[in-house]
Amino acid sequence: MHEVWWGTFPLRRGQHLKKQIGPLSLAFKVELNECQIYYNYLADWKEDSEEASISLEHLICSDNLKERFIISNTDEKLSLLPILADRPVVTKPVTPIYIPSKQKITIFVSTPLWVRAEYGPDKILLKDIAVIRPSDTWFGPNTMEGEVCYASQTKARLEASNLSRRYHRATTPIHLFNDSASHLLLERINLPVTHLEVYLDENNRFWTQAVKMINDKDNETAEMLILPGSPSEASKATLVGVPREMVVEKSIIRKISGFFE
Amino acid sequence: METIYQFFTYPKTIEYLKAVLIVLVGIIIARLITGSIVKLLKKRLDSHEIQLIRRGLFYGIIALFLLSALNQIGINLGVVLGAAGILSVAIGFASQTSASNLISGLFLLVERPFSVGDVIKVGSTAGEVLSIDLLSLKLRTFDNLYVRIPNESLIKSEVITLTKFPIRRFDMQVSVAYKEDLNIVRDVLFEVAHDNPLCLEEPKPLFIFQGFGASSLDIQFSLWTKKENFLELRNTISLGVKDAFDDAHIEIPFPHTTLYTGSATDPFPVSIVNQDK
Repeated sequence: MHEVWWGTFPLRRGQHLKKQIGPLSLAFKVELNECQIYYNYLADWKEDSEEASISLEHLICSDNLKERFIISNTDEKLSLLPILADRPVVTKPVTPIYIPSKQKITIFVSTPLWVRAEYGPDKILLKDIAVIRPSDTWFGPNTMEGEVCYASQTKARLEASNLSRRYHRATTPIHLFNDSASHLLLERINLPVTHLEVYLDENNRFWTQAVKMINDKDNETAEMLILPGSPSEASKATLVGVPREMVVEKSIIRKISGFFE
Repeated sequence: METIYQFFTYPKTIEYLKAVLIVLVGIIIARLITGSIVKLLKKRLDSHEIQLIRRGLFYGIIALFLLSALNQIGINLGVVLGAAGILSVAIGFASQTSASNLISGLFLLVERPFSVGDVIKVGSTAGEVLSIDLLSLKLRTFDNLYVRIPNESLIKSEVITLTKFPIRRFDMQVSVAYKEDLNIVRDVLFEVAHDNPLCLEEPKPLFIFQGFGASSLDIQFSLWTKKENFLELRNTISLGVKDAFDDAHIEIPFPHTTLYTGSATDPFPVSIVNQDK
């Protein structure tokens, strides 16, 4: 059974807290005036595999000690919050998808979560830790202009009921509309996850805000709108994670040709 | 006391004092004006351009006030300008290289092939650009040496800016034994690239067969990474390939030469001499 890893936990001097989130084995230990963070990643971990974990004794050791934070008051609580990646995520459908002219479609893609650790009532930010360290990738019209993103793969599910429940990923509904006269080949999607909020529904599934993309008639630009609030597929959702960057304008025009390359 | 009073009331002295005052005021005004203009332009221009503008303005204003001061003490400016003209011709002949460096520096400023902080390679010298000055460029090499390169040689020769673009390609040369299956080698290499998070998924790694070498099959395996991660990728991918080849029993051959006695299948005759020794 998957463990609910997010929330607020009392963590005082002499205590420790261990969580297993996907491949990430994470532990916090509080000593006199310091909070220690230990973590490691399970080797050969696969998605949808049975939960495996490292024992506490093996996790809390010098090899896995990554950071020590000096805190004057160590009689407080630790908050673990879900947050999205610190860069846009380029997600590739496992099989390329064609969207015929004037067709609308909604696909569901998931991106890996990061864990944000905060301590005390002042919410001292300790660390953002990637649950899965995705590969880097480049997104742009050529090797001179563009941006470095994370790479991810998606099965591009068309129905929310077909989604697997994974506690280390958040699902984004993407509403696509092909406004051009020709078929649109969907080979990769650049999701600006840094601008998205994280919601938790009543089934303990993570969602982000839905995104609407309309490519224009010449296929050179694509308008992307981040729809406010939780998506309609997320029932009784509550906001649990804030965006890393606030969106100034509601729509982001991508003038990269081949946005949907 | 009276001598001092007479000295200060002497008409020529007053003129000289006025001239000195003009120069001092000029220095103050020059500093104020250049300071204000630098503050305005700080966000729009880089440090090199601001430095040039600051110096140009400062010395230009000082020169104006100096001429005014000279005029105040009665020096004929026509003579001064004439002498300056002759002097500049003489200096021009003598300082052709410096003038060339100066002009080259201005061209570099306009063209902007690189900026302070970029890593460039000029000939066999590679390093970080510390400053782009009027006559020369200053580099810090990776082994912490200070190199001065005249601007003229930068305009004349090839300069490679290693950090111009955000991503960079690493070309790894790999050799495998002739007996190896290249399809398996290809798969192993791509898996190593996929498992290395520093290697970009896009642009995709390239597998290029270079040719049938003297001792091996030569392959170029090209991978892309962020420019900051270039060195780390270079090391980690090489180690990864070595480990993967060892696991897959793919041989990286030493250079070797095969001797034949005339037929490929006959053994080479060997006789042992002086067994007792």
